Amino acid sequence: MTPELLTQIAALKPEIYLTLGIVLTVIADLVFGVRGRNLVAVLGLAAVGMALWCLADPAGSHPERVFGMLTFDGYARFFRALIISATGIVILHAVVFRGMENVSRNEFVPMLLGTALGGSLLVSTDNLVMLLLSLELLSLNSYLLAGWQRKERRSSEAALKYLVYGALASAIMIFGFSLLYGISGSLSLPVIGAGVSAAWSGGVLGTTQLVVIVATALVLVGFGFKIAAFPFHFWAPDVYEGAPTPVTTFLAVASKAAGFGVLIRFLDAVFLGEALNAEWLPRLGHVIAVISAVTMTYGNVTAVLQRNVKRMLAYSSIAHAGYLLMGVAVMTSGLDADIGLDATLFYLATYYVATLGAFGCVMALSNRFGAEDLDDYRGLGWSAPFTGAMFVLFLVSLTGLPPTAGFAGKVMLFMASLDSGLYWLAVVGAINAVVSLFYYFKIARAMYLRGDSKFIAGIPDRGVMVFFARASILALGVATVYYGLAFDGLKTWVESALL
Amino acid sequence: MIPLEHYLYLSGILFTLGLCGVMMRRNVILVLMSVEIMLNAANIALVAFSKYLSAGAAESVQLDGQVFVFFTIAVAAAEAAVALVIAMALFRRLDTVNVDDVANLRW
Repeated sequence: MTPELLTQIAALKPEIYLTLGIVLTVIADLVFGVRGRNLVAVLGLAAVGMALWCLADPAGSHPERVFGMLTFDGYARFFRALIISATGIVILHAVVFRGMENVSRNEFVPMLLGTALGGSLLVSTDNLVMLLLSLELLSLNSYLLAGWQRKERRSSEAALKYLVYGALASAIMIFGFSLLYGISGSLSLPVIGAGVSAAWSGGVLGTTQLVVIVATALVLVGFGFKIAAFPFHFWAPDVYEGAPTPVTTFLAVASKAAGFGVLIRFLDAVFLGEALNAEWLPRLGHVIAVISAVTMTYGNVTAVLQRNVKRMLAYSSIAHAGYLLMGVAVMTSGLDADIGLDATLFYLATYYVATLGAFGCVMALSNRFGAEDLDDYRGLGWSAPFTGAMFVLFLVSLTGLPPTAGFAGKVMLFMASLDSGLYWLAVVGAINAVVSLFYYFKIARAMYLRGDSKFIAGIPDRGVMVFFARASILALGVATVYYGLAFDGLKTWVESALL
Repeated sequence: MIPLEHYLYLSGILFTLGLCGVMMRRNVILVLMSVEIMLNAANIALVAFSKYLSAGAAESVQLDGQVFVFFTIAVAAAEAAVALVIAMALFRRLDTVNVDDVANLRW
């Protein structure tokens, strides 16, 4: 093997550990069966830990291009760290989740690792073949994970809805890929970018330009589905409510992060790489700004009407996709791409911490009390002091109030959109933050101010894994406050990830 | 040689038919078959582009598109397998594969 090939393979280490984790957990399941439940989880966590260890290694931080298809730069590193660490926390949650006690959890771990593998390749690639394959690896595993509680009607239904919408979105996206290939004669995103900008060089709106517009729209349908942006969000509330809570956590955090990772890389390579006609890029930015405004308004307003907490958080995650798109709109508005990208990634990191924590609390409460509806949440803040307090903290961060990380994230987004002249979008965002306060506060009020719980004590959780799951929630809570007060550290990390 | 446009018309027609099928069919299996038709529309376009991009350029034959088609076919097969598993699981619970009956979750 040539030394060059060896360094290329070294850059793939996190993915190799994930693959190894998949193989070992499958073998452990075959050998030990149900008895090896904790062993499978520990193996999965070890694979995740090793992958994160390799990502944290400063020696591997310089950009590396592997097999002409994957680019492991700081940007990919940022997203891979988010996706893989979220997977670790989801494994912890899945092990303690009561709703999955009567179905096998052993196959769950390798499938989750496979999803993480798909996500981490997805954010690193700039080739359409690799993009398609890693996206499908992510999606197909997610469909099955959503239907994991196969004895529950809701779960199977969620899987079916996710699958039908997902298959449709990816078919539309692949048709868009075929058009992009026809325009540029290549499957590599930078070359497609060159082809697209050559198509615009005439400056008039002819057939080729129309094809470019149609192809871009078709591809954005696929990405819009993954991030649950309006109008491709239909699946999200049903799937989030029906899927097992750990899977919901994964979809809301890791799958969404992967979607944004690939969306931003696509836009960057195709529309920002080559100087596109300066007249047209801001129009793309405006389209994304409108989608962003509609997405966050729709998500927040509909969330107010919900009674089921998981469903409410699903609409909240649609709204947050809108906020994140705000940064993407700034990025494509044609002024300074870095401000928008910076704000998006920072917001994604704060959203990651708060959402993982919030869904972790939802799961802890449903484990102990079987509570999922807002009415069941009455008085739970007093019955479960730790989880209740943490939940409120994460909700404060999701609303964007100080002293949490969510506040810093929202400030950065609004500053970015003011800087780039999207004043109306900043106003819409600010109004939305107020609307979101209303329904997040509804959860907090139910937990603390609406009288006593109808549950006496619930079923207390015990065990080592429960301890670690709680510790992970505590760590996320500490991170929320810490990065709310000292966000410079997070900001430095995010800036190392700029494209 | 058949002009490129004819392939693209065929591909566009198939894509539209598939999309209409997804919208109008109520049986899950037929919905998924319509999705397969849409995927094949993309495949036809890819192969046609691949052939016409390499026409007249002997030294740089454009095979990317045809390779992509193979991967699309493989992905479609995997998707069909997953789809049938999920449809089976639901059928066992509900005795139906009609998407209108699968409406327990509503806002």
